[in-house]
Order: sequence, then C-alpha cells, then structure tokens
Amino acid sequence: MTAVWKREMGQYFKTPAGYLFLGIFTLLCGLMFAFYNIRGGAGASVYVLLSGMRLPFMLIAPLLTMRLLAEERRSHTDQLLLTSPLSVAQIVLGKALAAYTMLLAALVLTLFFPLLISPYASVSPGTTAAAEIGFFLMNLCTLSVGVLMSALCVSQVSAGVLTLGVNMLMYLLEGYVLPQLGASYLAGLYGVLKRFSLSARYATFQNGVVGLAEVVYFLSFSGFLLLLTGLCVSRRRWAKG
Amino acid sequence: MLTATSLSKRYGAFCALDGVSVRVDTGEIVGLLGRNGAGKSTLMNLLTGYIGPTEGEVRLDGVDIAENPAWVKARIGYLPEVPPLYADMTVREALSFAAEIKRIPAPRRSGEIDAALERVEAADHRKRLVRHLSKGYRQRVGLAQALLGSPDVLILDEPSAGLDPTQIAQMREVIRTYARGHAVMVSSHILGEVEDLCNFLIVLDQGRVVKQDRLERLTADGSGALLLRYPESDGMAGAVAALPQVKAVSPMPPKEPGCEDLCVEPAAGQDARAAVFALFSARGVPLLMMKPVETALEDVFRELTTRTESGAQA
Amino acid sequence: MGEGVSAVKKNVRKRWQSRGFAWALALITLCGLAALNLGLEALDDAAYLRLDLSPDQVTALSDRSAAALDGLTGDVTFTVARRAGAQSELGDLVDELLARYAARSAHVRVRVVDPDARPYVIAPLNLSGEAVTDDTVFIANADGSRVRRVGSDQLIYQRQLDGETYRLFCGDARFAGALEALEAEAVHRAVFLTGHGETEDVATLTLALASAGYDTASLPLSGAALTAEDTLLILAPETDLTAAETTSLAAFLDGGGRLLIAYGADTPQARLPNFATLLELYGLSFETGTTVETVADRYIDSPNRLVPVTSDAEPCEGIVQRLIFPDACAVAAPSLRGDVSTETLLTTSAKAYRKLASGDLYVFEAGDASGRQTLALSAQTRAGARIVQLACAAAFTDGAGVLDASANLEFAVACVSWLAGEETAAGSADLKVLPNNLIVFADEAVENRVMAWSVAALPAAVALCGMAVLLIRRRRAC
Repeated sequence: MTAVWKREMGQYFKTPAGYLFLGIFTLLCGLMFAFYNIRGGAGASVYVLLSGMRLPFMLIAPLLTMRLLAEERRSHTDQLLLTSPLSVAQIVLGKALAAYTMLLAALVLTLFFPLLISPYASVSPGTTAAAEIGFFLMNLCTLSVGVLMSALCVSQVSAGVLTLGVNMLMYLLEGYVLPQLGASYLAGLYGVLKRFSLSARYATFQNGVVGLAEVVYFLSFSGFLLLLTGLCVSRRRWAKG
Repeated sequence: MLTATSLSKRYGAFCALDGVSVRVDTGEIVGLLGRNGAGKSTLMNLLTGYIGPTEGEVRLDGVDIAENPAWVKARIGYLPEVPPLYADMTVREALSFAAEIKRIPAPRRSGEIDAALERVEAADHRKRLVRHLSKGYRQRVGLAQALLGSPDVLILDEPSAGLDPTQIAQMREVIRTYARGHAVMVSSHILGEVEDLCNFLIVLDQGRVVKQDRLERLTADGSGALLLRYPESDGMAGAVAALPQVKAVSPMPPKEPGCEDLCVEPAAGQDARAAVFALFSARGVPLLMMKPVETALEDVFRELTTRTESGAQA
Repeated sequence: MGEGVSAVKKNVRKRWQSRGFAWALALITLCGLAALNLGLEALDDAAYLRLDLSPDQVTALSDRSAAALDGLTGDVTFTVARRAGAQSELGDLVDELLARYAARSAHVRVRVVDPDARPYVIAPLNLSGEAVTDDTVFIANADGSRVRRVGSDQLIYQRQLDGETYRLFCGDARFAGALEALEAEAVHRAVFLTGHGETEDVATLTLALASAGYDTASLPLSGAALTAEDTLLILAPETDLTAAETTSLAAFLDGGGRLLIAYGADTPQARLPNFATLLELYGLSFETGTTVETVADRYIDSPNRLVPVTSDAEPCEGIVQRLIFPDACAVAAPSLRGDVSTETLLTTSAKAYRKLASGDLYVFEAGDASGRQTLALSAQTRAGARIVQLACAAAFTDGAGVLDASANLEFAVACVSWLAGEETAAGSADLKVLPNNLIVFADEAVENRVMAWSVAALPAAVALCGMAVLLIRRRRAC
C-alpha cells in the first residue's frame, strides 16, 4: 500500500496536477483571506476562512482525484496492479491516502495566514487547530466522492465532472434545501436530515471544539465511500455482465 | 506448476471460456494458440488473477489463487498484450514500483531491476520516460517488469507483436533461457514462433480447448499418411491405390530426378505400411523412402479449428 | 470442525462473486456505521465527548481567573455538592478545573460534599434555599461571610447563532467571576429588565458580566426589588412602561440607582412615551432614524454597521479595539439640567446622517438629518444616579454576530462597571469569553502589504517549485 501511495504522491509532484491544485488552492485562500478576513472584517478567524473555502475546494478537488483510478483502467496499468500481490483494499487505500495527503499539504500551507496576521491580531492556536482539523475531516468526504467516481468511470474527464456534480448536489442540498425544510412543517425531518449535512457538522468546530461524534461521522462517511470503491473495483473482476 | 481446472468465464449470455483445463510445468514452454476471440487473453487473465472465473479454479503448486492470491500472484510474472507501464515514469521508477508491489524486499530491488534490464538488453534506457520509448523497447521493459523477482511462472500474451525480426529473435532467446527452471506460457498468432519456441501446445477455439499435446505429437500426422519415393515405374500409383488398406493416393511433385513421390492416405484406422512394403517387394520396385507425412503446423491449426466449426454445424 | 470452517470459507468466497453479496456487505456496513453514529450522538447528550481547544478551555486558566487566584488575600473554599455515586462528564470537568485552581493558589481549598448525607455542611452555604443539584459549586471566603453559588446549569454556556445552539463548558469564567465577587466590597447585581419585549439574545453578555463578578438576573420590574446596588439594563424595548413602572423607576433613579438603556434603529420610539418621559426627567432622549456613515473607515461591510469614534471618557478608556454598532439610532443632545452632568462617549464622524426620509437607506436625501451623531452618552445626577444611554442594542446580542470581531463586550462590561461605581478593571479587555479575532493595522500601507503577501506569496512559491521540478525532470528524461 505504501508503494501505491508513494507512486501517487510522486505523480502529483512530477506532473502539473499537484502544483496546479496547491497553487489554485492557496491563491483562492489568499484572496479570501485578503478580502473577507482582512478587508471584510471577519477578523483573524481561520474557521471563517476555511468555511468559505469549502466551495472552492469542492471545485478543484477533482484535480486530485479524477486521475486516480480512471487512468489505470484506460492505460491498462490496472493489469499490473491487479495481477500483483496487492489487494484491492491496498490499492484503493493507497490512492485515497495520497489524495488526503495532498489536502493535508494544502492545509499546512494555509497555516501561513494566521502566521502572517499574528503581529496584528491575536490568533488562538487552539481554535485554528480545530478549524483545520474540521476542514480536513470534512473534505476527506469530498475527496472520497472523487475516488469513488474515478473508479466508476474510465475517462478522467467524466470522473471529474461526476465528482463535481455529486459534491455540488450535496452542497446545494445542505445549503438551500435543508434550511427550507427547517422552516416548513417538516421540521422533524429536518432534525434528522441535518445530521447528514457536512457543513452543519463542520460548524461545530468553530468554537475551537473537536467533537468525537463529528470526527466519527466524517470518518464513517469517507470510509463507506471507500468501501463502495473497493467493492466496485473488485466486482468488476468477478463481473458476470 | 500452474494448473487450471475446468475454468469457465461467462459474461451474461456470452461464454468466453468453457471448461478449460491446462497445466504449465517447470521447464516447459507452453504455447497457446487460437484465432482472435478464441479466449486466449481471457485465459491468461484468469491464470494471472486479473479477473475471476465463473467456475473452476487456478492453483500454483497446489495453492488456490482465490484462497491465497498474494502468495500466488507474487510468483507469476505477466506481460499482457499492452505492456502495463506507467507512461509518466522513467523506466527505473516504473520497475522500482513494480518490484515494490511484487513484494521484492527493499535491499534486493535494485539488483533485480538491473538484472531484469540486462536480460532484456534495455539497461541503457533506464532513465528515459516510458512515454518516450519505442514500441520495441516498451515490450522489452514490459518483459523486464514481468521478470522481476524471477517468478516461477511467466505468462506472455503475444510478446512478439509489433517487433522487428531481430527483436523477435532476441525475445525468443530470452524466453528460451528463462524457461530453464521456470514455467513459461506464450500465446501467439505467429505460428512459426510457436513452432520454434514451444514444446507443448494448447489450441483454443471459441472458448474451448480443441487440442493440447506435445508439439511433436501434434505435428506428427495422426492420420498416418505416408510419403513414398521410388524410381519411375508405370502403374505403381494405381497398384498402391488398389490396396485394400489404402484409401487414396495423390502424386506429389518429384523431388529427385527419375523418381516419383506418392502421398498415400490409408483407410480409416488402417496401418498401410506393411501392405505397401509387401507390394513393392512383390513387384521388385525398390522403395527408396517411406515416411509419415509431417503436416505443417498451419495445416493442423486450420484443420483443428475448421473441424470444430463443422462439428458445431453438424 | 476445520472442514466446516473451510467449507464456510469456500462458500463465502463463492458468494463474494455474486452481485448480491457486494450489495449486502455495503448495506450491512452502512447500518453498522449508522448505528455507531447514532449511538455516539445519544452518548453525546449525556457525556462531554469533545476535545476543547478553544482559549476558554478547561485545562487552562484564563488570564482573568489566574489574576483572581493570584490576587487572593484570604482562603477560599470551593464546595462541590455531589451525591454519592453521581458521576458525569460535567463533574469531571469541574474537578479538573478546581484541581488546577488549587495547584495555582495555596489559598484555594476544594471539597466534595454529598448534600443528602451531610446537609449541615451545605445548609449555611445554600443561602437562597433552592434545591441543590449535583455539581453545584459554592465558593465561600474564609469566615463564610460571603458565599457565591454557581449552579450546575450555569456551568454550560448556551449560545444561539444561525439557528444552532452551541454549548460550551464555561466553569472558568463563572468561577473567576465568583472569586472577583468574593473580594469585592459589594456585590453588584446586573438586572436585565423584561416584560416590554426587550431583547433576550444576551447569553454572551450575561456570561461576560458574571465573569466580571456580577450577579445577573432577568426580571420584570415588579419582581426585581431594585436596590442602590443594582444596575438595571433595558435593551431595545418594544412596548411601553406602565405608569406605575415609570414612577417606580423614577424613584429608583432618584435614590441613586443605575440604568443602562439601549435603543436600536428598529425601536418604535413613538410607542414608548413613558420611557421618553423617564429620560426627560434627566434631560435625555433618543433620536429616531437609522444612523448611516459615509466615511470609509467608520463603517464595516455596509454603511449602517458603524465603527464609533471613542472618547476619553471613563467607560471608553482602555478600549483599544474597535466597536461595531449595527443598526443604530442616535442619542439626542441632552438638554442642560443643573443637577445632571453628561459626557459624550461615542460618536460618528462629522459626515454621517440619520435616515428619516423613506428612500434608499444608503443614499442621503433631503429630509435626512446630517452631521455628527452621538451613539453613547453617560449622565450622572447629583443624587448619585448614573445613566448610560446607548443608541445600539444589537451591539451586545449574539444574533448580530458582531461580538467576535469587536470590543463590544468589553465596552458593555466597562459601562456596567462605571455604572456600579467600580474601577473599570484593567484586565477587562481579556475577558476571554469569546476569541477575539480583531485585526489592527498601523496604517493602510501595512494593510495593503499584508494583503498583497496573503494573495501572492504562496501561489508564487508553489508555481516556482512546480516549474523547477518539472523542468529538471524534462531535461533529465530526454
């Protein structure tokens, strides 16, 4: 599994994809920090910065994941992987972990912003850490959607488009449909569905509190998607059409 | 020793392989022969564990690939029709990755890679990006990748496709050398190559094994036809044809001056040799040559596969 | 037995190939995960399953409580009421916090007492006679003459924001307030008036006041029993005082009472004649209309979210960071009264205006009142009454969302301190009830420079790295 992880990490940094992702992410982060935090009066809150970054990240996440499994099928290198001693789980995990690592790298870079602003504001390391941890966990889910879509499609482009579509759909449901439900008479349903909302779960991190229930939810969500990915890949081998 | 027992692979209504049983022993080069769509690649994919069978099992030295896939796959080297190389990596990086996933321990990896590249004579290309390699070199590197770790079984799908004659000869030499102490299976369209390289042959057609036997026995004509050579004499051909053990004769273009060549097809189940000898000695015509006809492999191939066709039609 | 196992394994393996098995596995996993998550959530209500990294976390003392502990002159005893066998996450947090207190100061003693088993210990502490729930903490000074009570319900701070309720352990803030109250000469009460549609969204303000050592209560006037030690806060009333209440309040103020009254842009002043009469007694009144700024650095986000100009008057001293007053009306210039002295605390710039006409809020029209507007005023009477008049009630509510990025809370506590006649505590700026995210630049040039770095630094670095690596690789591979 580390072999697969190493290879994918290498690919991110030997091809433009990784740099493109990090570059766009940090650029958007920087713009948001400048115009929303500094000029817009939101202050030195990393939580505000990152919750604003959820949508931009969703848009560039396909850059990381679309290639992962789709390309293997297209260039037939999946024959190498599947005829080697590697199990399907190791392959899927290795690739997913590589995408997660890139997210981690991007978040480490965002620590630049609180450092930049620290001579001019009081930045609480604890709250910053909570916001970063929450964002990381929440976007494990976004990336896992990408991994699953990459397994389902042969063409990178369709994997990317599907990833974007599914993530956007979730985002719109959480952001627009769910609040409407809350206002209507279906308030009970709202209470139930709110549990599934990624943004609602992330919101609890803003006070600097890392809740176990939230952590487990995010990990379950991603884990389940990876399980589906593994099933999809191994089912193909046994396909009876 | 790699064995496959009653392997079947069905895709919905379509049956790609039906009840195929094969065996590849150490020291043998098994040739897999068949037309396009006969199921050769499917069989190889099943043997290497790329896909799973609908029925049947694959075992390496008694270990079932479905029960212990990691152990079995570590001992099989596979070169598919399109070498599975990562285009964006250098040769060295790609082989290093392959070595790692084949569970070759880290200290030995470097040595294995160098050895494999030496074997296929691609050592000076190790720093090149795979994307920039010519087709021939890509095949070589693919073969090197399959050879990593000296697997017990080597399975090659059309290894000579797209190579020029020199490259083909080199490739064959590598395979031949490797077969000493390992089991090799090669599939090919190029019958000459199979003839040259393999000592056991499996003929596939429409997902079934039509024939499998040692090469000599296959090309030795099962029909028992004889080729006779004798000095020109009138009426010999007719006399031979008149023999009760003989079904038909056909004159062949003479190869020696003053001689006739006659191809004799014996009646079903009959051995005509004794009768022919008796005839010639009775007539006092010296029988210069009587030998079984060796049909070319192509004929065998065509005949076997058309037989199944007509068999299917019948 | 072994045969059975391997037969089962073979069966499983065969099943693995079937489409149904994969779906079944996915479904089982999904159910398992759902059960796990639901279970955790159920547990969540009972237990405090969180890692609190925020500045007001349990495992560290705030500057305020540390200062209070260091300043103790006599012994203080923390008595935790807890019945035998009662164990909860909240109790664990209280124990942990008090252990730290005890470690910090030798004057602190901590004991856990079962109120059922030893009621005679609790009784002298339980002055109000209310029922004592588990994890109620009594803080008493050395001779027992002063006792502060922090109920178990007060240890969790609830705050509403965007329809969500956030709950945090706020024991440290409460205990710090209790310690302050023990050491203070007199304990002051901050009473939020109810019964006239006043705003109730003041959980954070309440906690800030408690943390500063005030008793807080939300009471109607009839039940308040106001004394000269009390400070009354009236925030954005919507209905008027009754005649009886007006008389009562006038008497309260005449006797030297303290009042903080805040209106907002939405306050229906025309319907509050009795309030107006009350204020008139001291020459005070409010102006109607929303105050809008035109000078760029005197508002945030939109022109009706004002950043007031502070003066040097007492409650404003020590407020270094900006205030944000959203949706403010204005304080009218006070009429001169011989027995009342006033001081302007907060104003707008000279180029603001009050929107009176019915057009676009952000556009000045004929009919609007232009000029410098007063946003906060303090008044003292010769009888000793003190009044603070604020043109913005929303500045102190949770819902307005301005508490995080402004000094509003500090200002509110400073006003109440001034009203109570106490020194504006030097450490009031580090209230630490909420993290303060304010960014302060020396000047615009610095701000621009930081913004430029923020946008350009990282992408440039990434781009350079990327180009370097890719070029090297290209050269090597060819």
